[in-house]
Amino acid sequence: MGVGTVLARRAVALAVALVLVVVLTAIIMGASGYDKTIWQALIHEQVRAYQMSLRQSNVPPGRVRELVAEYKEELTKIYGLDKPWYQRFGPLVVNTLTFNLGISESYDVANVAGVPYPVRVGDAIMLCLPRTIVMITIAQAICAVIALRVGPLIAYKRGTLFDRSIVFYAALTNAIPVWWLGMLLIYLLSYRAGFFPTNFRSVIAYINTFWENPGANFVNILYYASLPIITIVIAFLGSWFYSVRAMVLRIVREYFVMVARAKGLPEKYIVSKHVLRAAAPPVVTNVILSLAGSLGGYIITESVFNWPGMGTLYWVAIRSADLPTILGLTYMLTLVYIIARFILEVLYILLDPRVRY
Amino acid sequence: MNGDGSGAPVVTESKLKSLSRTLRTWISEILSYGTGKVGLVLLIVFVVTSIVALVTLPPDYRYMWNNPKYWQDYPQLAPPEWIRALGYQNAKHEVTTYDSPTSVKTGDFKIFKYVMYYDLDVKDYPQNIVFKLQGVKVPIVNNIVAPIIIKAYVERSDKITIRVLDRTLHLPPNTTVAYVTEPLMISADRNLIITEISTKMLKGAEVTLNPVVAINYLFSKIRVVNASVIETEPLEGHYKVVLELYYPSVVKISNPVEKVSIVVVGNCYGYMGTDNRGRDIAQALLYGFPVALAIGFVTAIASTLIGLFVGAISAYYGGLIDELLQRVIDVMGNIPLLPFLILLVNITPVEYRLQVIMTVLIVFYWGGLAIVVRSMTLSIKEEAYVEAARAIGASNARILLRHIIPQIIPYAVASLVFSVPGAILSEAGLSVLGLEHGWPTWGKVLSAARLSGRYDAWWWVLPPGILLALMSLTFVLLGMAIETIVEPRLRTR
Repeated sequence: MGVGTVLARRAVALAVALVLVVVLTAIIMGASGYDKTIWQALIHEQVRAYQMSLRQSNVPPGRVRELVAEYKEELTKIYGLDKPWYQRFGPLVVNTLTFNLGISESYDVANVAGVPYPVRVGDAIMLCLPRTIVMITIAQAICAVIALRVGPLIAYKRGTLFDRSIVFYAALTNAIPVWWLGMLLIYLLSYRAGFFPTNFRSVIAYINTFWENPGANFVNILYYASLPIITIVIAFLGSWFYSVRAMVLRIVREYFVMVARAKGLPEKYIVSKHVLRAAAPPVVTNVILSLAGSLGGYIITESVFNWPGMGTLYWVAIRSADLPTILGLTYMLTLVYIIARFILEVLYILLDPRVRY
Repeated sequence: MNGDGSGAPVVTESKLKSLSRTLRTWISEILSYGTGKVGLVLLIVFVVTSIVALVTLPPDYRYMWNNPKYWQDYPQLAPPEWIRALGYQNAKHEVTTYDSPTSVKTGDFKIFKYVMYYDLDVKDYPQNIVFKLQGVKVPIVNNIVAPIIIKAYVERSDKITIRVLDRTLHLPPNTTVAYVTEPLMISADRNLIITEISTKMLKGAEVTLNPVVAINYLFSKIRVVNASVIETEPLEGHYKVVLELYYPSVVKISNPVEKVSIVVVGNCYGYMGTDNRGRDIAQALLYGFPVALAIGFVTAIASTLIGLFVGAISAYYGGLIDELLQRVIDVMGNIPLLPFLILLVNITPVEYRLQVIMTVLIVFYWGGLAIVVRSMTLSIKEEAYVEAARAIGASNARILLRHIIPQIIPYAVASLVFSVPGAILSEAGLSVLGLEHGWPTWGKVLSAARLSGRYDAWWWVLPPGILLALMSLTFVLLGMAIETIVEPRLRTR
């Protein structure tokens, strides 16, 4: 099998997954009737308000009933509830897949984005993405940098107290839920000590108007983002250490490292030219996938910090059954993830000569 | 072999023996690692606690937990009782229960009197006084249900007597039966207390008292600063709470209520305190043990079994089956799990949500193991003994079950142990996010704390999180020990 065939097969699998995720999401929302219940409640509310206003302007009762029925029918048509769900969702899915993300129908989504209603789904995503990058992607990048510097050292000090305590730290942080750590740190460092803010929502203003006054806004963003970043770094650094250590350990025992050592090469040279070079593919996988995955935001952690990022946007969209936003977000995030997976496939071939079929 | 009646028991016995031997070697190996020792001890503690919880808590506990009626005589948002020993000033919680009245007086009415003594020994106010009547007898005079009068008063340590309850109770005819299972709970009448306080203690001062803090006035020294401002300070000392039930004297009843409890609702409760609805956190955490273990084990066992068999079958048969299963795993691996799970749980009716969480996790978890099992099976199936088995005519199923899968089981067990906490933490996470599922779990307790915004109630936030962390740490430690056994390359010695 040539390299081209392998890559083509992977690409097809990834594309199928992408389309399947979007279609499945639409089917779940439609077939369960979840969005219909929410829209009907909304229509009911509007019809009642209309009825009240008619009564107050002294319209005769018989006429009111007629007008209300008409209005209800009109609304049902506007929201498309007179058609079965697959007819409503079909065009939406096609539009989403062709990057025509449409307009959000939810006030809450506009609220999270921090702009007046209604908001285009694309705009909402573009507003929330930098906030998630500021919090989660940066935290993961910090973890990656520290782990790549320290990880190989741990592997070399295997069995020492240092190594054991790192392994224990990894096991401990693996067990502690990051959102619970967030709750604790918010209480201890924000409420008790007052080092950090208690209301993280306010970061919206500084990020949305960043370019008007970059210096001051940067400081403010730092003030809001540091506690979430600290929390995530504490929670994830352990597993980063553990996985880098495991990868290096596997390679240190390979024959070519032994040969290099037998040749009398300096240890520093062995680490950088032999060990790290060979450990590159799995390490790169780890880094790229966690960075790509972080763009989707950590829904629960963001919600604990009340952080207006991608995770919160998705949660709010689900709560208000805002299909354009749900589909748009699902599509964009899965797309990013799948592109990252594909880049990895290519990188593998470049980094590991053994994968050149 | 099934038809061989004499052979079967021998086979089973030797199988059992070899199984118990394997188990014993495993356990002793696990115990030889420090992490394994800690993990195993913790696991035993968790299992024993779960059994205790299942035995002691009523089967319909999850409905009790969600029903505010059961928690009326508990203090709200109260720290644990033992903090009093550390010198914290929290009024103690005291319940006195009576089978029969302290004294009976007959006159125009038959008056049944219950007396309780309460000692306020710290600078704090109790939260409430609640009278709990279980199995009230109904006085019937000339075939008509007569009303009962309930009165109560508190004799303070400064000898001022404040009436706290004066109410006529109209009972339905079958009350005796109805209130046996559901006690009648009556709280102190705050408006009456306010009236009493202003007439007996303020003596004409024009001060408006707030009924919301009426109980505080009841237990405090009140000093009038000026016409509209008063200062209150807890009044320590011995208090006497008296409850009186007035029955018509013609009725022949010697013991009107099966069980009477007078509860001075303090400002601390039990071993682990209460939440903002007065629910006993210790009970919910106890109930959380079996629920968490069940969620974790069911999900882990089911997904491990699926992964084991799918992986083995995929590699053993190869060809189209392999290709198909691998593509399915590929596609599943690219679906973002948490958003998908949240979406599915959100659209599910509340009573099925826990089951949906477990099903979705099972469906998503098996893929990872299947890939590992597949690669192991690929090498095992080339071994000479597999070929030999095939040569003597063993069926595919027999080769898979007898020769291939037993080789992989140790790895599968390690993977199973590692995957137990995943489901527990997912459930907790979804609860914290605000997705109701009706079961009192550790995540649910945390979620209530988060939604009420009371991060400062440490007795509410810390224990469930610590339990969650301990539970997953247990399985991480056990898994690490098992992993070192099945993968000798990881050994540090």
